[in-house]
Amino acid sequence: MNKPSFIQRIKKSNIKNFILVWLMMLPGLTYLFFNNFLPMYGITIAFKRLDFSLENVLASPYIGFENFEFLFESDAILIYIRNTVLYNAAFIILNIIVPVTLAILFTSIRGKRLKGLYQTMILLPFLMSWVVVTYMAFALFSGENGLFNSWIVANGGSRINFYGERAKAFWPFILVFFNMWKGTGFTFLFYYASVIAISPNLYEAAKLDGASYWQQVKYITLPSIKPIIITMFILGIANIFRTDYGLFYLVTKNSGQLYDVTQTIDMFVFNALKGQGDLVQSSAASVMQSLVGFVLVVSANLVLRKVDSDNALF
Amino acid sequence: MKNHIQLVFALMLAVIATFALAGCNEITDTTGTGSQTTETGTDTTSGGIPTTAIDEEGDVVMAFLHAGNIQTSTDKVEAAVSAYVRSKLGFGIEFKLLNVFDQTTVYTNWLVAGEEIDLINVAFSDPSLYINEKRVREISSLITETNTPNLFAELENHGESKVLGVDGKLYGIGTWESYAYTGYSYTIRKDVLEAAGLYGDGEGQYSHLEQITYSDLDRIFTAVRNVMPTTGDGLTVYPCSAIAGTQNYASGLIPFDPMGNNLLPLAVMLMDPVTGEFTEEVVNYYETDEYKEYVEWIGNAFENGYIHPDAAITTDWFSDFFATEQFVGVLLQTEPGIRYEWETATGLDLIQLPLSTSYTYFTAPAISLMIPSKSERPYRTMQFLDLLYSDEYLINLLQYGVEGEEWEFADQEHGLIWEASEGSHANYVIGGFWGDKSIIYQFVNADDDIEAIIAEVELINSERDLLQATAIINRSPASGFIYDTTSQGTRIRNIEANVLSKYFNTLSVGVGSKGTDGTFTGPGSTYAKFIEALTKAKMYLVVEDKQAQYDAWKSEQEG
Amino acid sequence: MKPKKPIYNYSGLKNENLGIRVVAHIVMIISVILAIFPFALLISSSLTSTEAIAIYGYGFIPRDFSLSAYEYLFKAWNVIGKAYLITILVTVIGTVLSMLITTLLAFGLAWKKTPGRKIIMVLLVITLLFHGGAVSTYVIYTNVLHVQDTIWGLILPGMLMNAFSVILFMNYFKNTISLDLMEAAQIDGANMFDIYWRIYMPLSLPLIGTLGLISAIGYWNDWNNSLFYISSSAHDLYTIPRVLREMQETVRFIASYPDSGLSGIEIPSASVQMAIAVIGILPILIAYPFFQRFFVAGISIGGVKE
Repeated sequence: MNKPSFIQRIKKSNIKNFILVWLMMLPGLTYLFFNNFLPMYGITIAFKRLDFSLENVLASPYIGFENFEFLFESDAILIYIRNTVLYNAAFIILNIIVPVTLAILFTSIRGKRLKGLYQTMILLPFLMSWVVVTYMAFALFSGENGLFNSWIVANGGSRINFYGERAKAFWPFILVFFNMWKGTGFTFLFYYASVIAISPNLYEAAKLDGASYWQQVKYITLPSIKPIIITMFILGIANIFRTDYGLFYLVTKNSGQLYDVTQTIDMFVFNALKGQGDLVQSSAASVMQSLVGFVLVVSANLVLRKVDSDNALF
Repeated sequence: MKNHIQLVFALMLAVIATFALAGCNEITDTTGTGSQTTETGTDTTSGGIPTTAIDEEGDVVMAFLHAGNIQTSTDKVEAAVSAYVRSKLGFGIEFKLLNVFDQTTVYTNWLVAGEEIDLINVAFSDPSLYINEKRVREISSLITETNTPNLFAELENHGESKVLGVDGKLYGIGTWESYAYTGYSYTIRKDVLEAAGLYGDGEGQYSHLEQITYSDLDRIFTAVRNVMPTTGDGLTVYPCSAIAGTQNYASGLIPFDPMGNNLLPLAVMLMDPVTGEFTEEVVNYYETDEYKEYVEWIGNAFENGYIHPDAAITTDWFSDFFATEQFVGVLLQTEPGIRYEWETATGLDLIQLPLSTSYTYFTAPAISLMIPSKSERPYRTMQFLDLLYSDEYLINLLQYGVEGEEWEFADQEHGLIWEASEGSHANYVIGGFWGDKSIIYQFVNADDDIEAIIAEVELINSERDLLQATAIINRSPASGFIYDTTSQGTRIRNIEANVLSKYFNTLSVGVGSKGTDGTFTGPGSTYAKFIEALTKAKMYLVVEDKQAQYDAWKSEQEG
Repeated sequence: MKPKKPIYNYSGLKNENLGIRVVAHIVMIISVILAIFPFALLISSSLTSTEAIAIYGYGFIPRDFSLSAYEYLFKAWNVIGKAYLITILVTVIGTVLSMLITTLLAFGLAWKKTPGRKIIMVLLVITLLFHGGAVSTYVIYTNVLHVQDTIWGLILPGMLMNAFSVILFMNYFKNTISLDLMEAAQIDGANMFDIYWRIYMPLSLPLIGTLGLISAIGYWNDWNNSLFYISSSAHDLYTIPRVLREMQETVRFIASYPDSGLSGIEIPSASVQMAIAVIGILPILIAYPFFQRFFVAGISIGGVKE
């Protein structure tokens, strides 16, 4: 499947082209330097005690791992880590299966206008801010005049406090649903863009060989987008210790009774440092999250190099 | 191949290390040579530290807090303030605008980047980080060295309530003193109380400022529910507005001195709600019998449907519920002005029924004016502060803008003002952010009855005097004590993030506090789990540490 | 190489089975309903009076229909209109620049012979994982690059390029663009820039459409850069999300500190917030057909092969 592409086969790999390519990359590299690498010395504040009376605050003295202590003060952190990892695992897997299925199904739809309409509509949730999603969730789950409770009461049941301890079991499903609902518009478009870019010649050839629709999907479409799926997977696990503020704080209304199933590392850090502007401790948490992502990405890449070296990231 | 990978990683680490070092150098260099900070940078490093205001140059740059309501005429106010201060002190004022809600982020950025700023205003957030990280400078020496008689007098008179200090050092000057005089009240609509037949001086009736207890609250809740079960629109009416947030609704029924915790109570000293006497024992607020009693009471109120079902999570403001008549009563601080503000906002007559006698405890000011440690004009800033604490004209200029253009006196003697022309009223900052709140004018509408307002203002003043007189008698013995959190800081933070944020809102409004065993306080109930979690988080160590520090402080005071 | 052929000329994966097509339509219709649901809530709430929202909560059909939220916004039009202009400007400049430098870098990385390619790749992954933090970024942008209170403060920090997009483009260049199409294009002897501009750019239009849209939405909704780099003194450079946020935070602040003495300030009500969200989203919807053309373009070039 992975034939060398034209660009890889260019014979004239002369100095002129080397220089040209570097010139082309220069704007991006300059940006990386200023935007990403220069600020990276800021990571060191996770190991420092800040002293603002110094001329350069960021050159404050080192104090070791003291700033990390608050993270591991309580063993509740284990529950938060569990929640974070499990939610992200669900998100990564579903964010591959659902949009890929949709994208493949979408190729069967005819009619330019209808296609355009579907594409536009399905993207709507992606455009909406989490604040609006929170209002929507509240309109559904409110104990006073939420749609579900109104329906339950109208049918003679007793109200459920959806944000309370006894409704805990619903929340993993609610959060996964809202995450998918908001993100699928984009991931679908992304995979669709990849699916339609597959060369039609491959399908023509397969059809001549008498391949059925499913065989075409199985032997052409899926293998063609495999590198992209792998990339998305690796990028996904890079952030496995991070979660979205909007989904886990706003949508759950930070309800304490749901913490056992909704509290994640980021939300714990947010709750612990709320409004204090404590740079050193929040950056300590961020360093911890980055390190985990780093280890996972490097391991995944090492495995990939052994199994499928063409698709390894680096 | 493997060697190749290792090489790449080694290179990568080297590159990062280089960048890290390069980054540090870059910054130190640029602060010295950057266009904005050139002269000032050399000024302070070459030993030319000014010792009096005369040696200092340039206008004082002050953080000008707004509440998201940016007015295009802010420039005019800035010019007017600058001109006025120049005429008085010989230097001008420059505004650096920021939204009060973004203060933590924005101040941090300014201070790290070394931007020019001489006066910041830390409002409603924990100032301890500003002191511990030396974001602001110590100012007691500045006060003695600068000629600031008004500031000096202000601190003499209101010392405790207006000073932000640690270990005998002064770091900031407060503007409000409202948090020093406290006490909670159940505030209810007068018409509803009357309809329930409970308003008046008779037996079993309540009049304004009459102190009440749990059983009185129960009586009122039941009566209100009977007389007004639903609003005109058929919605349930809730007699008590307990909704979660930063409020601790138990404080009315269980008054205490938080001894240094500004947010939620932890290790505290309790006061008798009737006699106003403090125990000198530091206790875990939540483990007391009083709190247990509160949990049962509010839990029953919730079970009986007197509390809003979404109380623990709603983000609406309770005045919204008030406006829709869904709430008819609210638990509020007893401070006299508040009732008036609420009456103005809702257009209703309200009755305040205190849950405890009013009392005083020492607390860090809610709003503090502080001087950043890298300010280049500390002496000029002190002089400006001195003016802020005495000059009625200046404070009201900052608050309301230019007289004649934006507002005019409705009644100068009582400090009442109204719009100069339709829609000209801007209200630049939040009331009492600068200087002395008591000399800020009060805004009235053109169609208001001025006579009635003046009468109201006089009533408020007499009520305030009364409450303050009581409050000063009921003064916490820990007034002046400052808790040093060095040894327990991480533990307190852990308790706040892992335990309080999980249980507090739920218990405080009575939502779902009944456990599987059907009780509010038995094993398996939310309360029991809460106490267990507090013990597991070693809350008792915080209590012990605070008690030890308090005892040491106390013997030092006596000795 | 302008896109000529319409979408139905797509000759790739096709299904003639009616059953599958019906299933596809049903799935899409369900997705569309799920997507429209909250949008209806948003529009209906913006057309409901604030009192009705407080009483009945957010509903899907406006009770007590009221245009007052939009009237309020019309009054503040001088602020919001200006914010619109700035937001559009930032979004357009930012998205075009972003796509340009991202694809240029990705192109260089896709070519196996580029010197230093592997190291750049590793560095790129590092940036994906480790962030210097907001404060040190702020120091670089203000003390070194001096972008504060300029439009570049809204465009440059953090948003212009990210490793995520670079890696996706690189993958796309490496894997999806096929050899036979290249040969059909017959431009041997062209230099690297020609190949980038004349072949790779047109062929990756679907991905440019997707990631460009993401970038545009990012710029459109961003308030963080505005908060950091546009001080309140330079409020002429406020963007729509910043204006919206200032309004929301005011309400939140008052709610947290009922005794802060702010009650005299007029606060935008719930329906106004909803109305602002609507006028924030509408332009993206209006601009969407523009991005959709990219999807058509990709395919019609795919069909060029005859």
